[in-house]
Amino acid sequence: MTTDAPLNFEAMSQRMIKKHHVAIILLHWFNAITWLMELTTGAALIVSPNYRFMPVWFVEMITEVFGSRGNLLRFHIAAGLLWVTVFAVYGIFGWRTYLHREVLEREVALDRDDLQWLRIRVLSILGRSNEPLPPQGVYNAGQKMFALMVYAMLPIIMVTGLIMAFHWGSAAVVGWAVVVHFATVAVVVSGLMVHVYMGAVFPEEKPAFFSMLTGMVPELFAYKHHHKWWLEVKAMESTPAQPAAPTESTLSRWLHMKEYWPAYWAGLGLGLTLLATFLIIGQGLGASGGFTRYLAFTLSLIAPQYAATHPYWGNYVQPGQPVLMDFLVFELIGVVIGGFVSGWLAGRFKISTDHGPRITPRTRWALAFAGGAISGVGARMARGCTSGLALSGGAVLSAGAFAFMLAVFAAGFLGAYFLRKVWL
Amino acid sequence: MTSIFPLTLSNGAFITASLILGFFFGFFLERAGFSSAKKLTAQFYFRDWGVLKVMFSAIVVAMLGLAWGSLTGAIDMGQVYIPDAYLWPQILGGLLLGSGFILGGYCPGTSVVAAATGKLDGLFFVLGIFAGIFGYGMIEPAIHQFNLSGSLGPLTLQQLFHTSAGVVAFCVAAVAVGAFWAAEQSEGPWQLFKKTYGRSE
Repeated sequence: MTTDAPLNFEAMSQRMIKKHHVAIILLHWFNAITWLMELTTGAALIVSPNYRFMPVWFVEMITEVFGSRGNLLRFHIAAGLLWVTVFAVYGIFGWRTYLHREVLEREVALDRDDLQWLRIRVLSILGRSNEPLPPQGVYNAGQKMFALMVYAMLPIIMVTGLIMAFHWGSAAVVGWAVVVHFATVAVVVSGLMVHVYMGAVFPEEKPAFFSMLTGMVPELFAYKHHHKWWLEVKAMESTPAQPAAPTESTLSRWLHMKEYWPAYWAGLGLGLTLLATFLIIGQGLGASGGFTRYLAFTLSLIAPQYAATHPYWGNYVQPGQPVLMDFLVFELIGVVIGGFVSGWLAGRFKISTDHGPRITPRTRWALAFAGGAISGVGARMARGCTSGLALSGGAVLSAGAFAFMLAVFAAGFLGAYFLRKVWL
Repeated sequence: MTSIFPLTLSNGAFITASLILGFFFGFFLERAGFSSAKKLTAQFYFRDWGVLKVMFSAIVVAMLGLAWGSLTGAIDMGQVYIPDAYLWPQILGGLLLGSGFILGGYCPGTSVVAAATGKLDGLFFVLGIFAGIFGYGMIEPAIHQFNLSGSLGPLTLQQLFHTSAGVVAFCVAAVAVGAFWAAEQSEGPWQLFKKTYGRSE
């Protein structure tokens, strides 16, 4: 090691360097809480005398807390599914960041130093060796071993859990899934005991525990316990300073972003809004139903008698029920405001016409009017549009919604060929 | 176990909640770029998979949330509105809406957002919808019989395939992830093609 100035250990014990990203910290504690709940409820679910390992009073107490064994099982499955979903999202969206080869080689794979470290560590615990420990990377060999074991076991726990929860396969398959689920969890728990002991009890590793709360470790701890990582950090610090980071807050940056949001983030926002609508209102989002009510309302003002007795409009104009007292009517007002605010914040509000290069704005307006009219007819015939039927119906797995969705895309792709001069 | 959701609201709370939910609906549609007819229609020319990606990620998020809530007993799915299936009018309606989409550049919800951000074509589309729905309402009595054809009630995919909601939700999520992957694969080659041969606009 070459250093220009002698190391100041006092200062190094004070100075904190960043080890964990906040997303990893949140994932860690979500995982920890879920494991605690799943182990508790899972242990209480094992009542067969051949396999039960917790005392009867424990099983009875936990079952009592949840009211019944059925509720206990439902909770275990629900928490497990949430856990699988969170990890699936992490795997799908994070694999480029966290799970590619370079990261795995650095953070999980054991190198020559690691094997040496394991040998000396075991011997020194047994009092058979006082050789110095080889330098370690960002995670030490013990941590890597635990990670490897968890990576191997997690998919098995997830798949066997899903098989049990949904009874995928014959009774024999489900029976084997129970045994494998139990065995793989037991393997992880054996590693977990060491992990929790090291993190929560072992005095030398205290900074590692706190780093899972604050994301930071003292530089001295990195120097002593993760020397190779410390060298990397030092090398990075000595390279020329990066251009100053934007001082704007993340929220403000996302609100004023000139580009459209990445599709999946907009989709996540839309999905959560849709979910909230189901929870609060009991139906999904929509658009064309609101238009229909506005028309029915106008008609009821102009010709009340006609509207009330008409076989179609009469469905909306009924005595004692205000035509406009409907979710979609107010929702549409919100859509106008929300769309305007979003466009305004991003600097996209502009009086303009979106048209293909080969047609004039005037042609475009005529086509838009015609397209709107055809869509209006289609939406009412199908009893919903892309939002009201395809999106909202799709989320509640309505068969009609999926048939409608296929028809929309089929007509869109087919029509696109004939209308290519309008758009391209 | 009594379910908390869906909530029972007073009129004032109902109107306020509707406005706020609508606000976020419009906000996220605009953020996705769905106030632009060119971006929306680019989906049908395989040049931009935004429509598919946004729509399916939203469906999967809401679907998993509902499935999870109903499993824990927090949501009473019996109280959640499931559209009645009328197979033939919904297929014909879908074909009409898809044709109107590619001709006019929007669908009803997105045209409102387009008009709200100053797009005149969006405004004309909105006017067209009013005209179309008005015309439809007037002739509906004549085609009423067709409109009721293929009636299957509030049929769900799990009933159709005689399986549990969890299995269907899992399959839909898996298909969506597969579609996202395919979409990501196809966008790359197109960008390369456009860079090489595309005319500058």
